[in-house]
Amino acid sequence: MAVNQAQMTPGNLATAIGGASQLERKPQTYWSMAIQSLRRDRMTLVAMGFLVVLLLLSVFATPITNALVGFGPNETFPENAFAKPYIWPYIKWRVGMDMVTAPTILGQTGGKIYWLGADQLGRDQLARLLSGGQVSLTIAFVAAGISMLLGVSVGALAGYFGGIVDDIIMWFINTMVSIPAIYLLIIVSAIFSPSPITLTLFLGLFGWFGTARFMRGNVFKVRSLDYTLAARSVGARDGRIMLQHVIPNSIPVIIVLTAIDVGALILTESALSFLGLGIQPPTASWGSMLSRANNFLFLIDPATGSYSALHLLVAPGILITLTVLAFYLIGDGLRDALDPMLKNKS
Amino acid sequence: MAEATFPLAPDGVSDRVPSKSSSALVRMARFTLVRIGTQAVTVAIAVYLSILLANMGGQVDEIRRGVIQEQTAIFAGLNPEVQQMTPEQKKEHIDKLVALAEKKAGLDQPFIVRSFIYLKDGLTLNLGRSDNMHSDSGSSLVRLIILERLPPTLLLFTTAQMLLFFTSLFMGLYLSRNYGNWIDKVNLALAPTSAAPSWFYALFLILFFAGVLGVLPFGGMVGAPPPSTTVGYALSVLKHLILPVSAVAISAIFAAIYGSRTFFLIYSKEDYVEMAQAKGLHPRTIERRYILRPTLPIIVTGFALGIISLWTGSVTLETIFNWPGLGRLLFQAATIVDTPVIIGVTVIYAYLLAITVFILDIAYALLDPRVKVGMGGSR
Repeated sequence: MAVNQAQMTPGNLATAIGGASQLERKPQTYWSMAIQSLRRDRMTLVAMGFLVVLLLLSVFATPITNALVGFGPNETFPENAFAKPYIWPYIKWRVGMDMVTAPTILGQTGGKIYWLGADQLGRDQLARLLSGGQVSLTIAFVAAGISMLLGVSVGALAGYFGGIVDDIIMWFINTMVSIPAIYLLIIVSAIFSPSPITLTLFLGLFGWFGTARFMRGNVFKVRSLDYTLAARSVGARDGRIMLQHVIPNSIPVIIVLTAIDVGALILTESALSFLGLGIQPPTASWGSMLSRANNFLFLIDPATGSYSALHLLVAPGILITLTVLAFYLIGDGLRDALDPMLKNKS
Repeated sequence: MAEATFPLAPDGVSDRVPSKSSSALVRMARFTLVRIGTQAVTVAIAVYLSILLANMGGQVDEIRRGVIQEQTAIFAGLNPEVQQMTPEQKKEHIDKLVALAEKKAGLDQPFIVRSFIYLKDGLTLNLGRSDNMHSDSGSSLVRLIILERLPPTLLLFTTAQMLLFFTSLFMGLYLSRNYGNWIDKVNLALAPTSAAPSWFYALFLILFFAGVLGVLPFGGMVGAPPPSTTVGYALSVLKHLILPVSAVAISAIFAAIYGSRTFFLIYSKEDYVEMAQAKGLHPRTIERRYILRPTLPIIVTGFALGIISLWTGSVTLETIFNWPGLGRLLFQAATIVDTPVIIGVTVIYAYLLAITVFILDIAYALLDPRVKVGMGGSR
């Protein structure tokens, strides 16, 4: 409905009535209105900025690793196990606060620069975070795509046709959700020990039920609106109504759901990898990095008396949290921007 | 009932119209029965699905057959009588033994038939024996293993859920009254912490309180050896509960308070609340009768959904804290493909969920007069 109404802007009206060319401005579409309201939402913009940076880092993980680290994420240097992050001593060195620590560390690691430290095998954490981000984000996005595709089509079918189709689909969904997805995922990934591709498929196949329910509710709403009735009364077929009216008018809901879904999928993937059921070593993913770090949590460096593996826990943990938070914030912001009516209801 | 109020048809059909005298109790009973029926079917299908999955669609049987063949061959080989047989006789003898063992394990029937036997056994809670796992008392009965693991899970997550629910409810009410004060602002600033899962906070809590400070235990449910007195035991369990419960609480509480505060704010702007305020009613009376009562169904739903989600989210947390609960049991069973245990845990979970949903439905019907029980039957 919003799409059709948005075309009747003051600019259009003015041209239609008086033809005064000074008053003429670009017609405001639904999407331009959404972008306008999004522009004022600083929180969402920050989240989007963070995500764009993250995506760029993941896409260019290999060149960045080559430039900053010089060796790959899976190359091991056991003599440098648990090297501390180099970045703080380096900053202090450059600023002139501490002229000793940084060169000492550099000497200890044999000239290799571990900006964010090294893990138990002397692999560079920065390189692993980058390639892990690549893996985690790809899995989350593709799985969200699969679950969105399934959820939207099944939900639209149920909502549009109603009756027995709806009953069967809803009953199927209710049955599927009566075993939690994480249980199913644990069972299948323990039994089939998945590759990244099959893991993505599992996540997508067990993740679309919520989307379908939401979509069904939305389609119910759209189906009873006047323009659907109008389309039907001029003889439009089911397929046409579905593709022309029902699905386009559900796009805001779909976008919001997908954004939140991606965040949730990153969490699920990292939980599975943390349990050792997701991505298998040596491939890095944020969850499996956390899991490795957890094994060495209480290891104390005899020279300094501090925890040796703390940096291994903090970096992937913070990255997971920030990424998921960014997706939630974006979902929230998009909901506000795309559906002004929802703002007061939630 | 619409027909009863507007009898469009002449008298001839009026006897088919449902009589108005069917009391609320009868309708409630019918509604309850229908709900039990649909829930039972749902549970059955969910369990059957997990049976198919846990048996890898019958592939686990091949593994079992292999194990039986190997074991029988080894045992037969130890028997001096068998050692004296010719190779052909030996093979025949072993094959006979294998067939017997397979029949005993029910492996002589095709998988489809057996899957339904499993289903029947699962639904009647006749869970059988595990392949490899044992309960702490040494029994391999799945029922005993699960019974041993269920109370810790219930203890941990009921405590956490109660804490979350009541804190968010009362803090939400308080903040909706004092909208915009410093506590509200602090809470708003902390709400994003809920993006991280509980197990992530668990790692840091363990590191700090157990590792650095050394005041709380790393994990497990009671100290080792378990205290002999009841009071000592309870105190030990309580001490072990602190960290996991805090992990759940930290990961959810600020967002929960924020949610319930926003929710109450919306409802405290309703016309009937303003009306009550205009009448000069005591703020506490307004809160109790005009804000809390109409929102009760929604609050109850939130409570039940919270319990369900906590049961689900327990696997990782239980693993980190070494908590002897159902989630960790499932994880352990899945990693060694102990099919009977996997099925047992999913059956229990499906039942718990069905019961929760069922109670929720009934509570909904009792609490919300707008839910018309047993009419139309669309729900």
